[in-house]
Amino acid sequence: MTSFGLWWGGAGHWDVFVAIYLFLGGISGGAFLVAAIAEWFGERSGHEGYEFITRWGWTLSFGTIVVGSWTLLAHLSGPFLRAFMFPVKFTNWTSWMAIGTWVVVTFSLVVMARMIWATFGAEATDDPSGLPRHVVNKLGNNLFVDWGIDLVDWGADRTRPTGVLKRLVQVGGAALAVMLVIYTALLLSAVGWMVPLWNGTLLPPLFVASGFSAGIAMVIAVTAWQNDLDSHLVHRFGLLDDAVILGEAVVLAALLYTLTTGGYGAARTLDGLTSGGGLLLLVGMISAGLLLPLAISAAQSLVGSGSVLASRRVTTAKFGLVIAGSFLLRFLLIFTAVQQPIIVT
Amino acid sequence: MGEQWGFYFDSDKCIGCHACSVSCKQRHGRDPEQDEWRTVKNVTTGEFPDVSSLPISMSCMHCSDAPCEKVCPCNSIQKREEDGIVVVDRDSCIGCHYCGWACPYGAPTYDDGGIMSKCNLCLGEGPGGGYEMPPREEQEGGGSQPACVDNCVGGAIEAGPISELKDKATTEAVEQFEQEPANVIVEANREDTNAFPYEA
Repeated sequence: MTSFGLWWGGAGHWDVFVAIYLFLGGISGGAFLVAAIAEWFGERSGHEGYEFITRWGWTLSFGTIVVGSWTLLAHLSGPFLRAFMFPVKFTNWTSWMAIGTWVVVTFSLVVMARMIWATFGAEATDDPSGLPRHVVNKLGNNLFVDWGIDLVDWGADRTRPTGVLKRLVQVGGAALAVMLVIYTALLLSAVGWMVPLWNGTLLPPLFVASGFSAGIAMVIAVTAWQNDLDSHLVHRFGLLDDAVILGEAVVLAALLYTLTTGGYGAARTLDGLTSGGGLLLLVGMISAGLLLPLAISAAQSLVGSGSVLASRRVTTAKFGLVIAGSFLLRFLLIFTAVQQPIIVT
Repeated sequence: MGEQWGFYFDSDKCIGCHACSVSCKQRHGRDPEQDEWRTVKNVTTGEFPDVSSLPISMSCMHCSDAPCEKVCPCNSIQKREEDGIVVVDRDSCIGCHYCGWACPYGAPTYDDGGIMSKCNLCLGEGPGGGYEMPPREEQEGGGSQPACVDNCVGGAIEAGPISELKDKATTEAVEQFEQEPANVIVEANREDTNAFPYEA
């Protein structure tokens, strides 16, 4: 007869809004990094395609962090207005939620500035990648505020950094983007000692890989459709995405392995992941986010550029799968997480 | 720093009657349909056919190193210096449920307004009771006896300054307590006969 029993505590303290927030935070940071990489290459090669990618990168990064911030607020069950008091209320610097809030706010301001500098004033463009300016222009016309766009153009040109300051903004922005993605992992892994699935060592690299991979997928897919991006660049970023996906697969495998060697909480988590809805989610996430995109890439390499498999439609479908996989990963991490039980002797 | 208060629980004396959780609900006006701040569960030990059911009563343990306090972004959860009781400032809680993930005992509960509440060792009454209250006094000093302690028919739950609880506990329980970061002294189930045998 075993001399102990297990008291299982609650789980499921968070709803789908948190999963959406973690996904959008990751993809926003990833899109920012794609824009930063494209900007770096663009400055050296002068290829127009990099400029399109850069502009779409800032724009999509800004859009996803704005929506993500709203989903973050939406999951709070307390009085809504209290969350807006965060500069005064969020004062516990041992909490990743407090630290992360400041990372999100700072990142949002930087990405907004980068988006405005890249699409207004001297950098304004009529092509679709200048979307932010087109939107402001349309809004201004509809609201009869014709001077609004002139004001933003003037502001962009007056504040756009150059020289050393520009480099500082580039490096600082990229660092913030990485911090944003890592913080979304640390938010979970800070309680990893209670929740075996939220492993403190593996979750940060997993989130960085997943966020970067989904960021590449989103930015390149949108740029390819909106600006008829050069297939050579699509292919190049597609290969980068494949490499990141491979890295993500290795980290995910390591995470699942830790569950086989953990305690009762880990064993129960593994049970949940290998049966019923958990299994469906896991298989769906691995298929959509990892296996199918890699299979499509492999098939595209084998058949050559003339085949239907190499068409923009199929490539976009591949990127869509990567994005879906990235969301399913966050969904899985929130809804299959189990807290350690209390051992009763 | 004042002396830390905590709970003492002896599973051998618990009969699983739920008087502790019911009295807690009554004193603090909690939901009568749910076990909230104090929960009683029958934990099954052993494997069929040698199965026993052991009643366990659990609440916030007012941990020495309260993990809920560390993760709360707003500093709404405070471990008091004066008596070690973990209290909640409900006026600043945003309802992020982060403490729910961090707590090893499932102590935080969230009401209809989404704000966290939990056991305050009867420092005050009702949700939020305890925050900014004067230091805990023993009954002899004019303090109230916690409802769960007052109503436990078997004397399984006690509360008080840790040094006094240690005097009542077995050496084994005290040694176990010294190793754990919780402010609770738990007697292990010493006699299998005191657990309730499963009857097929």
